[in-house]
Amino acid sequence: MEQLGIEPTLLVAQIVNFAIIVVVLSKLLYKPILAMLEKRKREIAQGLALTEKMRQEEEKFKERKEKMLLEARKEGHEIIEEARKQAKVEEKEILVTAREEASEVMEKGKAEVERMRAALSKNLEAESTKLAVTMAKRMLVKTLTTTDQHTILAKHLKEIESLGK
Amino acid sequence: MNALSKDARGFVDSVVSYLEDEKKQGAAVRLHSLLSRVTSQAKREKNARVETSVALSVQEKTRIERLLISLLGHAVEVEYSVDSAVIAGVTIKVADWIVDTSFRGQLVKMQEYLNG
Repeated sequence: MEQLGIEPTLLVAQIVNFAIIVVVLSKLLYKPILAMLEKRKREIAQGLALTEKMRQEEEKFKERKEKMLLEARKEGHEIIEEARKQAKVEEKEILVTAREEASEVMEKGKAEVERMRAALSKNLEAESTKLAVTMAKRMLVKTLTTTDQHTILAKHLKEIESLGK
Repeated sequence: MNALSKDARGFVDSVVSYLEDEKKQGAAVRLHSLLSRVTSQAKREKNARVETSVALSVQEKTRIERLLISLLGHAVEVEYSVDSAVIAGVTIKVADWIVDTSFRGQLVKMQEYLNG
């Protein structure tokens, strides 16, 4: 060994020193670093798990949102469709009512026209009769002579006498 | 003018004929009905009113007064009046009893009949 230039004592001392350094480093540096690395690993794992959980939550939220949007759209369509149906029904009802009212107004109008026509006709007849009678009166007054009137009177008195007997 | 006068005469003759037609007017029936209903109040009445279209002669007045005596059973004081509106015929009123053969009355009845 000496021929190789190696001092056994020194070698032993160096081995001892190295062992001491290994033990010291292992105790004071290696374990804390491992613990720190382990802690960091756990934190990263937790972070990843949390991220995954959040992603999943986000997915669920998106799904719920989509579902709600779909339901809202469907409900909206249903409401619009229902409103359209209701509007059509109301439109028909309004049309029927309007036709009935128009028909009623027409009937009333016709009845009123007929009533007015009848009243006018009656008035016209009455006026015509009145006019004819007035004309007859005037003609009789102007045309009948005194002799005519005495003749008529005599005839009437004769009738009364014959009936009074 | 003469033609008009002739037409008017024809018209008047037709009206007189119509008014005098007993079958159409039922004048006899109406008169008989009136005469048969001489009211008790009329029979007690002492005054009568006679309305004609022309002034009556003495003979006509006497005839009417005799007629009233025979109908009422006693003499009445007759008040005569002339109204051209009577047209022809006579209206006799005794209390609430009236005999109306005047053309005025018949025209009124004809108008009522025609007016329904």
